[in-house]
Amino acid sequence: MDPEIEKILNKAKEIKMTSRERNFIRENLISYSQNNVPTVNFEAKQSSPYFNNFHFTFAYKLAIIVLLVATSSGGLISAAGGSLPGNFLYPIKVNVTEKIVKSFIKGSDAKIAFQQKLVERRLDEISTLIDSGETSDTAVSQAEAYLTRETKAISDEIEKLKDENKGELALIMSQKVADTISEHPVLAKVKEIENNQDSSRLALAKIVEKTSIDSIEQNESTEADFDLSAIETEIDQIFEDISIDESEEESAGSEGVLQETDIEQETDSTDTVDNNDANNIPIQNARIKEDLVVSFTSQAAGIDQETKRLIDSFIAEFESSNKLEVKKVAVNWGREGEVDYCFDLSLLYDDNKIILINKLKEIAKDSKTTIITENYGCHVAR
Amino acid sequence: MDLEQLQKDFISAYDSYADAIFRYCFIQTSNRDLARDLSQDTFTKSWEYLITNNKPIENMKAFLYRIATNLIIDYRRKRKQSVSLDSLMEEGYDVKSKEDLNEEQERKFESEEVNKVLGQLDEKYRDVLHLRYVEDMSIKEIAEVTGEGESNVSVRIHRGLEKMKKLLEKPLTTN
Repeated sequence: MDPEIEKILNKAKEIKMTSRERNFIRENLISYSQNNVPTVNFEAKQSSPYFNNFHFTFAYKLAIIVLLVATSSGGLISAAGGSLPGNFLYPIKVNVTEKIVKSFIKGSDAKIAFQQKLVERRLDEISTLIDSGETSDTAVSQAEAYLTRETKAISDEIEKLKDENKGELALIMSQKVADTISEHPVLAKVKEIENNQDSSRLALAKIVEKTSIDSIEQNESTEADFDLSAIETEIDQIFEDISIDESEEESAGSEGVLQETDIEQETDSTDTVDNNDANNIPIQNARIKEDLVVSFTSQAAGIDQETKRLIDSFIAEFESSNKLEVKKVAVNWGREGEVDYCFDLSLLYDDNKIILINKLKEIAKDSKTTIITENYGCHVAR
Repeated sequence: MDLEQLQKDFISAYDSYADAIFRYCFIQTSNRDLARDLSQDTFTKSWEYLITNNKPIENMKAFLYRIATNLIIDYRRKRKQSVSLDSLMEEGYDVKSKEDLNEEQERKFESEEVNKVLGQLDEKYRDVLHLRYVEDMSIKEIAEVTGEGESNVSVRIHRGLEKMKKLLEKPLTTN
């Protein structure tokens, strides 16, 4: 190797943290590992660094409420719930009811989990068709069309994940989908049909077989050079959270008030900002990226109290006029009163978010020591 | 695994790899404060993994580099959208003693020349050259960390060395 290059690279080896930096982080990590322990067993659910489960569960339950309204007011939609390919109500089920639910699900990961459940449902339907011997041309063509549609939707969402540089997630999701399909009981029936050369049900068997092969190919086409296990548990949780069993839809239809209560409970239980549950990651240590951070810093003369007062006042007025609560936590991090307001804006509608952020920026624009950042972490608390 | 043992292993891993992970983050970002943050995030994420999975990690070193690599990728993706944490730090986060400042100055001096050269290299070459010659990783380990094939890693190392040589042949520009 060129001696000059070797010299540079050897110098690179000498780059280290200062002892103060090393000890500072070490103390943080000791504290972090002590504050973040499983409460009962190691399988206890952890706050997610990868997903915001709240968005998903809230959206999903909201979708159930919408379904409640739809099903309780429209007998047709309700009746369509249990229909099979070939039935005249089947298109309502797949094009209306399920699409309403889907429209409330945000994020590629949750959408894939939901689509995977739809694929399972399509396979269940084919299984029922095989058992019943209902193999009309319409049934077969509808089964094929909608199964293809759902699997294609998964492929599209996986591609989106790759575009978003979430290759690991894409890989796990595609593996999960391939596993689900390959383990579905209908595959055993398909093999049986093929072995017996049962021509009346062979068309359905071929549809299932093609889906299975496609899902495996999709999975293989996703690059596999990542460490995956770190997020597998969370994805399992997402898949568990998604449930579109007909019994659940019916239950939603008859117990709407209870579902609304569930939403409130869900909101409370997923609010990690204000409680110190050992199962939650303390914001001061985790450097979780916040939607918005207003940082009151100091240049040896204390923080800008006037700007802070204006911001406090604006937030109070904003909450009052919009009849809502802006979730935030104050993290004290300096010796001169420095404090970060770490905002969780997930509960706000987009228009309110924009108004809030723009107004805060406007208030702080002339302040030399008040800094507003989006999608970044808060300071470490003192 | 016993939780207490898990915590001990975790801190022990930090003691063993803290400097290497910091060095990796620093060379990739040319920002000391950010590198410190990314290093801490690397270890907090590894702790999250440990308590979620409750099983030992076979190759801790490669595992930590993979996390750090992902965090660096996140940073590169978002840096245009966010105010630099550097500016926040400068506003009063770090209250340092004289000794701290002296040590940091020494460290800064050591790293300046390295940054002048490596900082001009394309990220993909900088990654592999660092892992190969600074962290003494094998081609296989580098492939595991970067998610590239072994042959691709070898080609990048070769080309990276050539580019570095050319950089050294002409006067260095300041970062």
